[in-house]
Amino acid sequence: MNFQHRFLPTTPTDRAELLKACGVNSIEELLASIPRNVRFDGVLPSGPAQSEMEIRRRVRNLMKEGRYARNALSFIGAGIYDHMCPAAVNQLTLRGEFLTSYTPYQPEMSQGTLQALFEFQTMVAELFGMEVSNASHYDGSTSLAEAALMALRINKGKQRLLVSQAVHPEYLQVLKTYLANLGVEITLVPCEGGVTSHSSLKSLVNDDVMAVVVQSPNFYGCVEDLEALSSISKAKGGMFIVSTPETLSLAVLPSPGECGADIATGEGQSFGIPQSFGGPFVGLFTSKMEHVRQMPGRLCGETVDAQGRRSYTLTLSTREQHIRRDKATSNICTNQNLMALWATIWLTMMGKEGFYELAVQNLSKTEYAKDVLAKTGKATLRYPKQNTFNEFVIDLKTPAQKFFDQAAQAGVAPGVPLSRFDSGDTTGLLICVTEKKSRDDIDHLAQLLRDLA
Amino acid sequence: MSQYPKELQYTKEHEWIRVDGSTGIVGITAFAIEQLGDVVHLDLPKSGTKFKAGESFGTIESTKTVSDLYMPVAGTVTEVNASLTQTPEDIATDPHGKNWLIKVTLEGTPANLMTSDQYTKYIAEAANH
Amino acid sequence: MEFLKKSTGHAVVLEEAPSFESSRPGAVGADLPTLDVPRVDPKSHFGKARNAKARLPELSEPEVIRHFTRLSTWNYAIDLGIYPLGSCTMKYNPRLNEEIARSGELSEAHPYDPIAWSQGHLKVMWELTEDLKGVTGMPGVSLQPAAGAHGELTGLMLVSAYHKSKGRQRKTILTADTAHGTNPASAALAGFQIVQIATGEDGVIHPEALAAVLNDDVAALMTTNPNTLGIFEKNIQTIANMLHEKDALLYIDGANLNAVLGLSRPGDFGADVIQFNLHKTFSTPHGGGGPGSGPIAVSERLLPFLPVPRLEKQGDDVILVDNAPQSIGRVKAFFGNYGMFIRAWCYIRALGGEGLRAVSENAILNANYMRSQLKDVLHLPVNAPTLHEVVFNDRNQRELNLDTTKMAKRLIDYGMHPMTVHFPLCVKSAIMIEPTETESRSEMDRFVNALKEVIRTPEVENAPTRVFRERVDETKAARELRLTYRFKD
Repeated sequence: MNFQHRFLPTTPTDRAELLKACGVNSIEELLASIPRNVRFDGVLPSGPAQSEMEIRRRVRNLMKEGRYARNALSFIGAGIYDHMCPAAVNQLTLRGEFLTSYTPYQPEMSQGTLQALFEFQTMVAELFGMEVSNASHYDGSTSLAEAALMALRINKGKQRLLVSQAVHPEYLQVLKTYLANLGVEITLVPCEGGVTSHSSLKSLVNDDVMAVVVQSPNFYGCVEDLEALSSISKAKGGMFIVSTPETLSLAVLPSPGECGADIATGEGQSFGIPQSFGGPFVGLFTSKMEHVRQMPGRLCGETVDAQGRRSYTLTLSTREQHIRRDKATSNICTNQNLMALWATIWLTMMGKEGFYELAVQNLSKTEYAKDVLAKTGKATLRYPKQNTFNEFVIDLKTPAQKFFDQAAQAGVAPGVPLSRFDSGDTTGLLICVTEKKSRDDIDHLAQLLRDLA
Repeated sequence: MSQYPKELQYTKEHEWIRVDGSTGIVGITAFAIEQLGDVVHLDLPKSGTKFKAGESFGTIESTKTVSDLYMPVAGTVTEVNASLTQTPEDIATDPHGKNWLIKVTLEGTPANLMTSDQYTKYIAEAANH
Repeated sequence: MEFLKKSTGHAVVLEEAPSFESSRPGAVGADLPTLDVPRVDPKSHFGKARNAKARLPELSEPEVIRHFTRLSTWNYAIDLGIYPLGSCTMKYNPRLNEEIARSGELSEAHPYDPIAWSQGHLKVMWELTEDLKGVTGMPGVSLQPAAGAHGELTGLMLVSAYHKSKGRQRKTILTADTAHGTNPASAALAGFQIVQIATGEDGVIHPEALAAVLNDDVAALMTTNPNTLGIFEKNIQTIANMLHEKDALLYIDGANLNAVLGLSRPGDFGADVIQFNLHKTFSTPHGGGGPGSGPIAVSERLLPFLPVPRLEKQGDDVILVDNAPQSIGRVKAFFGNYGMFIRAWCYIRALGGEGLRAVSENAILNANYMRSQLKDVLHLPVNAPTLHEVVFNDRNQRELNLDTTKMAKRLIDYGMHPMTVHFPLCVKSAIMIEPTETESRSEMDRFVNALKEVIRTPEVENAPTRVFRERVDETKAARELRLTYRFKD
């Protein structure tokens, strides 16, 4: 073995000494326990070792047609939102003490991670108006699936889950996959005018319903009346679960907790986490204190050390897989820690007023965009009567995919054609307007629409 | 060896039962508590719940482990030690007396249980392994 | 040996209260763009708005920087020193990977962007898929699962779908007593029941033990290879054959794949599914507990059931395909933790095929060195050849009133993170050491010397004391449950 590499500190001289200490003459002797018939003698097909410079060059080459290289303008949201992020957030999360530390199983060596998690749990519970938040999940979709599993544990014996049709289609697919082997029947609650139908929900709620799942703002951008949906959902003992992919909306909309949610989940990507082609993000999970022992995921709690000083530790670990194994509340092993830290730093920087103002900007720009796009005469608002936060659907007179393709040529992603999720929906375009879009950007989108043949 | 009262009967999973006619009082042994460490939570059934012998009727948790509690005999729960669920740590003192877990009406005859002497021998062997 | 002043090794470690306590109304931490459209007031617009603004802290930018920098100094990290956690694989995280993953080219892309804009990203995913096929010798890969445990769950869902496609429902998953806790938890979540197999005295599964429990209800055997004792399952080929004879499947928990890169491929002995833990094998940073990424590789048998969307090559382009009638569906929104894919992709390119093998060889050499240096002081309960990690216990120390937990806590006072303790469960009071390939001899010696000194001085009580926080009261935390900050108002 002559391969010497920058990641491997052992020099040829070291290697000779280490082998001698092990009482062998070659590495091959140490591999003798791998039976001959299952040894691999080839070279893995990943090519030769490349230098930093070569890898950078390759990446730049691969990405030259990408959104960044094109300096493109995008109005795509649909579960991932392009929000501002102060430079300090990225810098702080690069600190090796955060980036390269392990899960805080040894609290005496990880108080930094733990206090940050405690702040995270506090902020998330506060935003959702709920009593308790865990230390995070993979993402919004798996948080929602875990919420359904938690409702199944609490409402043992009930077999039916009602899910609003206005839940993000990919979240719905994840829910179905998670529940496929557990004997749960999922029934969709239809929409009426862009929001979950109250009358349909009323007729579907019965004693066999373990929980009702709604999303707000929903997939079409419309704000649901959570208070009304909550009281209908809970009439027969089922739980009310709210999913919020666009969590910036929590700054201005009534919180799920205020409206009666038993479990509220969401996606923390909105807290300045880069879009990164779909992940990693951070799943948020909140609940009432009475159900804390049924919660999945990791929890950080405050306590004291041997000197009586305020300290933090992971707690209620007996719910988790490494102790309870097949009876654990989830198979999740850690949390999405670095992204939870990212969200915590971002929320701390935005602060009470900044977070609110940011939401106001999203709302204001979205209202402006709805107005100017409707005035082009080339499109109409699909749900003009509904409240929205920073997303809305327009119907084009021509196929939305055609407009999408044309605009893409011009370096603009005008939204998501809804045909992506429902082939029958050819005219709908889901548009998202965040604080990062200027008035000029919005006017430019309107001009592209006007120019549409 | 007076630690394990003569009037109680014991299971291999370290529960005890005090039988009085058709009713019984169930708890867990001092040995079990010592093995668990600091008890932080008890999950006990509601009155009226019916269990078979050997069925799990609840759990007891310390910070690092959680153990199922098993019924020494078939029966229906008539009372849960409410003060103990509020302050589960109290179980460390007097676990064979005032810090019992549940009261039950018996629906079968206790079988395969150990006497105090047998239990004392049993845990001495367990400790040697 | 010198004690450190503070275990995390920072020259100065300062107290820092939760941000909610240093918050002052009026302080601003970030500037917003100027609002260039008419302002809409949420209260009048919605009619029903949020009751009160969320009580987020109010701090200026320098205060935020200090707050989190101070917190960071309370952490230990691989950047500071050896982290010999067996089974967790704490190795160096190359910095180029961070630079690239966080660059605008990578971090600003949206999965619903026009596909022409996304070709670069899809090609990265395609190439990583090919790398993972190469490492395992298996024909299919899905990158979608978000973490190792998520990969396990996905893999077991595939196992379930396989048996359902054959018109039967098998309920049993066999695991070894060396298994990670995630295995039974994932199996339960996928609707299975667990039957455990005891490993032999040589630390591996024996065909006879398997034969005793193998019946027509067994859906799969789930085992880690090399297992959590750091021992290669030498009967794995026989085990695979026995399973396949019953049309049961072999699930390899890939948690220890970092030990056999280029040395042994699960596909070659008949594995049907394996999950990767990209952080363990391909060095994406642990981040204090995530984000992870848990791709899976599968055999021919399981190809039809892989999650959607799938990657396919169309000429030079990579496209996404949703149409797969037998697929289990999605396990996560979007395409998986792409930011982790690019880091693993960079890592694999930096090492190349030959380098990946050198990674495993050096990891094995280092673990054997640790074994050679500690075998005279610690008891080795299973005396079989060690690959990438070695498991001792505290038998030689018990009469000194020194146990596994106490040794672990005392190591902290020497400025290093302890090894994994009390795992695997088949070894009582286990002491599990995995140095990884990125530790130098002198760093390993630092650990060995500290552990030997701990054993020489068993009388020291109440460790750790040379730390920012001494022994933390976990019982109080569990009894009183303070999971959020209690605001004064």
